[in-house]
Amino acid sequence: MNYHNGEKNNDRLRGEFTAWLEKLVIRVKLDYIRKHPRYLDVISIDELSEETLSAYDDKPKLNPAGFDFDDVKLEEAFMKLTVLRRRILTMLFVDEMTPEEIAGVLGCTIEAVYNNRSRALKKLREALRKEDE
Amino acid sequence: MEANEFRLLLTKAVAGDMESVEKILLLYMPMVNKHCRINGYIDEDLRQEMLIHIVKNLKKFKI
Repeated sequence: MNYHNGEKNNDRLRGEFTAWLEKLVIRVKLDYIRKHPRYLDVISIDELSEETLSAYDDKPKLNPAGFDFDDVKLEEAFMKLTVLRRRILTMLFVDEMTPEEIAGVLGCTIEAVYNNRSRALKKLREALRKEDE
Repeated sequence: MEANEFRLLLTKAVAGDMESVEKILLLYMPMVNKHCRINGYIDEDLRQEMLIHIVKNLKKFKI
């Protein structure tokens, strides 16, 4: 089978164009949300559910929603991360959001998402290595 | 739409043929509608902004 025939190349063109267009549309959306602060949800603290409030406890509970840890050590190491880093890892690996989408939700740059992601993973790796030693 | 037909349409649209641009917009309208929802509702202003950006930036796409 020839993978370089015209049909295949055109399918690739369509794929590339779709990806390009989707990126453009997402960028427009994020800019739009930033320019229109009415979309930032403001609710009273009384309206928050207990589950949401518990996420801001000083001593967070183990096993946050979404992650299913097989390894207790990993779970403990994860809970030692900052709230922001836990949120980023959850959005990346549980909600399968793209760094662009996360940056939009958190109101930070994409670089900040990448930096926090790699620092969080480094912390996890270090914590697990220490446990093993 | 056949792959060759799409290539021709896209080439014309990138070159500035408004009829082809319109066809491309119609083809990708479901994607635009998906992304212009905020809190579950379609935001007409955002949709319009997206369409304007697509038309303006289409010529920048390298085939």
